[in-house]
Amino acid sequence: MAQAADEPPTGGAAVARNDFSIDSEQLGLGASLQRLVFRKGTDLGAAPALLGLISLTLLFGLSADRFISKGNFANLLTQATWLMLLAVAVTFVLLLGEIDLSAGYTAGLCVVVTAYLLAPPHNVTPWVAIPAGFVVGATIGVITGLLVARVGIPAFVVTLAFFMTWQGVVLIIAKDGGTIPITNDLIIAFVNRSMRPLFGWILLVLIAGGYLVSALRKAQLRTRNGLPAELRSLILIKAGMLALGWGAMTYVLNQNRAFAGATAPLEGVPIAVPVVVAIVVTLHFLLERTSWGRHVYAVGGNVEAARRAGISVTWIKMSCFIMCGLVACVAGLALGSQLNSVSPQTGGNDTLLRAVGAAVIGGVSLFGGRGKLIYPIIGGLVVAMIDNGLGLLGTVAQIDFTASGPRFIVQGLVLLFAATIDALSRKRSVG
Amino acid sequence: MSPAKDDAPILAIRGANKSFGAIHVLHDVDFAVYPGQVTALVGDNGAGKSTLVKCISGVYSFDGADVEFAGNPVTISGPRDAAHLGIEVVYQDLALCDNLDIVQNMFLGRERRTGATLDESSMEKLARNTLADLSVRTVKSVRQSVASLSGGQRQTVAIAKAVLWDSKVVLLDEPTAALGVAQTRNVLDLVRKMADQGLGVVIISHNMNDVFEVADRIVALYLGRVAAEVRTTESTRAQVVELITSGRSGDLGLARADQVQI
Repeated sequence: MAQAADEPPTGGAAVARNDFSIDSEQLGLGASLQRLVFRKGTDLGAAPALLGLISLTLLFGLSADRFISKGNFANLLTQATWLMLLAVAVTFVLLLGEIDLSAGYTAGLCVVVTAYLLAPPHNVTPWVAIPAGFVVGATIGVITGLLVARVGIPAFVVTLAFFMTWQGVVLIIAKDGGTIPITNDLIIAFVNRSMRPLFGWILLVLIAGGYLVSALRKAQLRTRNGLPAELRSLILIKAGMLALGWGAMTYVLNQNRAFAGATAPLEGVPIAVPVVVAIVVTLHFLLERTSWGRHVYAVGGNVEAARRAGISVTWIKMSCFIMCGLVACVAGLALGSQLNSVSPQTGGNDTLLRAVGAAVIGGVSLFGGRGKLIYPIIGGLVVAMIDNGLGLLGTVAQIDFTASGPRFIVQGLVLLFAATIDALSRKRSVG
Repeated sequence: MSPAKDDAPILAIRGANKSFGAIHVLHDVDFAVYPGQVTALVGDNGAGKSTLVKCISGVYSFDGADVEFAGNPVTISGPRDAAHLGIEVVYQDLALCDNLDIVQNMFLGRERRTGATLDESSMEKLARNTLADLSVRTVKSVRQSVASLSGGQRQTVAIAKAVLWDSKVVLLDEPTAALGVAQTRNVLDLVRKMADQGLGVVIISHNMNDVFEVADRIVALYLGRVAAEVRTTESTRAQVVELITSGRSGDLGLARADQVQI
């Protein structure tokens, strides 16, 4: 068949012109690496956010005294925990091409309910109080999902209404202006405690080993089916890099970071790290390897096509809102753990906006259908790093970066920048 | 076409009626699809082509009709029924997800699984084989996202998606409307190829060049009635255009308007 009009002529002798050339040809290591770096397509993914993370580290590392230190590294990770989790929660809704403005107060309401049950005079066991928070999160997801998917109210309006509603409920439970202290060890430990150094190394083995095994298995399966597979040497290189990077992180965190003269050593990977890793790996698996995940992307990409393919759009939307509520509950627990208490402000103010910002900065598209679960993690780190770095920067050129004003302005501009990249890359892929 | 090629129709619809409120869209329509043949469904805007296709694909249901599939009476009461019989539709807007790749689109809603996880290798292999069977030689990788494909390639993927499911009847709604010359050529070749493989193919088109190039028989609809069913080899473009615009042409077609009882 005459194909000349269909395809622009491809240049370079290295480009094979056969049919399905990319699918059928087994690449060498050099070519594989080349393809890895210069991936085709318009989806930039997390590349801008990763670049931002590196340049921020350099920028703050050079200008703020204590930015690169053992203590601040652990601090940064724990400060980012709730943000990363809430950004992951919101990502499920963003993937649909919807928005959830109430996710911040969903997180707040979940943890307020848990704290309320734990505190005297109720003194409910944590084995009931914590699941109760998750039930609240899931219920909010069901209600929001029904109103959006079944009744057909725009998510923007539904969640705006619930933003007010859940805030009111939090106010009533926490009694205007009052705070409920959290004394439960389990919740306190979540963000504030670290694992023993040995467990940090075990986590490293689990992560690098897990990646190696799953990548090798996938390659083996493809080879058995007669499809070209990722080179074993490339898999080993990737796993090695992961082990090296994660190992360096573990090594730094396993050093004693307590102030001089402290009575007990402060060392180890924060407990929040394995919790976040476990949640992200599980949800990533659901999104990438199951039909449910495939259908989530389909609904976000083209609702009508999904409906005609026999996918229950209502169920997919509802399940995403439920997932958002459940993960928001974990984010709420992280917030409560960080503050050792909950108040009517928990989950309020700029909580949600920063989470959405983190997801978008990480590379999740606001237009739906594009984004992986690692993106909100990277984006969350960027936003947390801006906050943390500016706080340590102090006053530069007569601007006090520790004050809220300049910090909000910087964060706003970074978010705007990320949204611009999203819109431009979408325009390029459509046009 | 030799008459010997007219086997029993794979899909036969007799006396189909469909109204939307007071508007009677289909009047006693008889329509048949033969295996190994391309049937063109032509007619002016509002003649009822799309309604007929949507009734066949189960999006709408007939108010009354005798539907036979492979000789057995059937009722189609939803898209799943139609898909179950082996009737696939390629819509004009193609219904593809831009953010998914070719394999993911072709298996959308009917993914192959091993246990709870997706069986990517077997889907990829099958998608590639189906495209190869259709002599599609344009795509470099079936793992390319659909957003990166040209209009003709997207049409090809949509058609391959319809063929993948061991289908018996494929209906194409205006498959060449948005395409350039070379791409139209490819799609028409593809339509012919599907019929040669034994499928019953229905193509809706406004383009007489396409119709006369690829179709074996032409069914002309006029204001919700079948004006005539003709063989491509035994008719001329002028005749078909007349059937479309006035419902009759010489001896062919509906009775004169002044003789019709309304």
